Amino acid sequence: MTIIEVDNIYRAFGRVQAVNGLSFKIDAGQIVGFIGANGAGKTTTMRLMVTLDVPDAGRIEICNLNTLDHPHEIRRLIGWMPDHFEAYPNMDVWEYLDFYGRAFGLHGAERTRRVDEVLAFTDMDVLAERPSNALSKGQTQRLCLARALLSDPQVLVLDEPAAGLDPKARIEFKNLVKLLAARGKTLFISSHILSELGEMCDHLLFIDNGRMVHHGTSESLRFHKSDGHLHVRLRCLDEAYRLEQWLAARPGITRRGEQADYIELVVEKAGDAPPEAQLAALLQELLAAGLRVYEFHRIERKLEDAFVEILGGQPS
Amino acid sequence: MKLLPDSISQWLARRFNPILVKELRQGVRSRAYTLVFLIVQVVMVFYLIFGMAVKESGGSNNSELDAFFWIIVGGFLLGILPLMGSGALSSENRGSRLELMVLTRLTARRIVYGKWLAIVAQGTLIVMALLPYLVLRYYIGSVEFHESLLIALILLAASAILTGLTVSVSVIRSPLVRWFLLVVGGLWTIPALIGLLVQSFRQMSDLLAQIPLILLSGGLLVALAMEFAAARFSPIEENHDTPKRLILLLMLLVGAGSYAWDDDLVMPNILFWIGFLFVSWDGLCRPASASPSVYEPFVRLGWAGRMAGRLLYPGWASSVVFSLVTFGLFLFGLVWGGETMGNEDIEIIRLLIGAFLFPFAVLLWVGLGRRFFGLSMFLFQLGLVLIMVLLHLFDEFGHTHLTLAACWSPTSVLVLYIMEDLGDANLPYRDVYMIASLVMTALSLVAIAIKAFPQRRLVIRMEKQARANRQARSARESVVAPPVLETSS
Repeated sequence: MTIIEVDNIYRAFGRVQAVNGLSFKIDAGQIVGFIGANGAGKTTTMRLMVTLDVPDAGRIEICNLNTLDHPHEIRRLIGWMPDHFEAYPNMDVWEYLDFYGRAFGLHGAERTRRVDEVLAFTDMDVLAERPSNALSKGQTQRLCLARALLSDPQVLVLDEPAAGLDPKARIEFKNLVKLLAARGKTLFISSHILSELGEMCDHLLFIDNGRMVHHGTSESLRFHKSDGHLHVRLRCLDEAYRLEQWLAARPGITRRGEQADYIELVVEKAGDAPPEAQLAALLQELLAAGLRVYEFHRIERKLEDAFVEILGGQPS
Repeated sequence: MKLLPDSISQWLARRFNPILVKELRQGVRSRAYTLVFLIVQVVMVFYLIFGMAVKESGGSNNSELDAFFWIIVGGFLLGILPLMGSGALSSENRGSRLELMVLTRLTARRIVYGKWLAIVAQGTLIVMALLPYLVLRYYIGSVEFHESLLIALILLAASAILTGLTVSVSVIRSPLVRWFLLVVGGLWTIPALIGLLVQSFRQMSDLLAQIPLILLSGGLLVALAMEFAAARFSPIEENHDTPKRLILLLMLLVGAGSYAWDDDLVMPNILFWIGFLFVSWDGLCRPASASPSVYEPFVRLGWAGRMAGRLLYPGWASSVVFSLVTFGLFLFGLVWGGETMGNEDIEIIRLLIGAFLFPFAVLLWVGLGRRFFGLSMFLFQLGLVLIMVLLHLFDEFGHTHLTLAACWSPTSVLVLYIMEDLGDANLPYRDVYMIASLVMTALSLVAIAIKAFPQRRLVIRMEKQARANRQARSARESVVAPPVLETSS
């Protein structure tokens, strides 16, 4: 079921066309990474989605509700985490969330329960009495996520949530995202830390100059090579000549480069066969040929390389 | 044991502004508030000690001590409290705070009012803390308790009005512009309030008769300023233009009422004109709203609602009509109140309307962006005034008729009318000025009407969409249950 539909939206600020005919659809329960260089239009698109801004043209629907026609309903369905966030002085964490609970229209015991729930979920319950403006960057991000979760939204839009976090805080945040996905939330996340987006997200959406340049699964992006072939890294205990002999008898497979400690095979794609099936067959063949394979895996490319390649540059 | 039944406490909780709760939690813990509270208490204790010492020594003249008391109270209520409001909304501009609030169920209006109420509540707390000293003053100072209490309440009300204005100004992001407005506004209003205070000592009975109308019109001005502030950061589907115009109509009503009550009471009418200037100017700078939500309350009322919308919908087209109608109502009120209008008055009114429409029509056809529309209109008007002043100066020295070169501009002719009294029928070329400005006024109206057609089409489209949304919403609500929060983690 499509939960977010962005249809040919445009948004300009003066002469700068921030979003330029962007269209995409996101199904319920997906975790989508939103990738683009600085100034590509990521934050503008997200602000349009959460009803903080309106497009000059085009249409955005969240749960089949148009953002322009039903902004109030959409705000109840969507949680927003901005890239820059500051809590309040003279107010502890619990009071901060209590205020937003009131602002979201929660009352009495229901509000208290909900605040305690989100505090527990984000592992902030031990910090409930800490001043909200005296938290570390990671804790502040978790507080911001807790605030967004107060209204129990179906869709979470997170703008650069991992920016500025130390490795430990990043891992904690990644775990939270996974937990949210397990609860059936749809997550739309922008980030500059592409490797983490690759791990967290099952779909990736690249934009450049306000236009979509790629939309696909994270896996397809990691394994897709520009030559269209499958690349495999191989190590075996046998001497190299045995492998060379084996390769000579197989025209669709070539050895790439001269690496001392491993072998990279380039396998031509066989028609419509799924790459996984082709690779499984290849491994079976190698074993059947008596080669003692102890490492065999498909070569992934870094998301950074994919990003540069998609945007028209050269992979590193 | 529960203090209130659940239904009442739920009802109260729904209506109690969350911003008020937040601001009070933050405000009373802030160092600034604690410091002010303690200083006021310490000063009051010293005041009492000195008062008792004077009484013990047989002194009977407590006027200096009395003045000291009111300077402290007035300084806090009219100085410090409004200054606390000057950073109320600008502090929320940091770290996406306002945006995060706007995405909840809080409207921009509730946010601004919450900020204001919280500061007024803090002021009230301090005034309450002063009450024991007021009682003790009665014993040591031989002053009337109820009179002192009344003055304190009037000061509190004046403070609430001033604070409302500073909270509204605090929405401006640029500190330079904000402080410029605060200083200029302060220079204008503080002396007026001090005058009011002095008057309150001397003519308590007159003041008591006038104060409700003055406070009412001041309160309406605050409400208007709040709408302006809320409009600066509200999402597109919130309509602040209609409330602004309704408040202005109320100000007109209060102005008319005060005029009928007492001819000398001019303050409510001055405040109406300030409001009128701002609302008209602001209205001309706004395009028609492209959000169907804005039109829904009007569409709900059917034919009558849509007709009212022609006056009250956001956008410059309805704003022009509204400004002209309001101006007409004001004139009608004057005539109805017994004022007579001569030819000169009618000519000035005609020139005023021309001065209002002509620059706007020109900028509309130039196709200027809305962002700097207000500023451009101000500079254009200023230019037209300066042109006539310069031409008039040349005329004075050269005995020529250079001012005729600007007869096409109603603004310039109005300036000439004021400077040289064009009311004098013997002045040369008088008819040329009057006819040329009248023709330009008529042409401006036609030009504005032509440009209003696309706006009208947009309004009709939005009305249709609003009707459709209403029907879709009611159909959805009758089928789907509202979203329910998770009951367990």
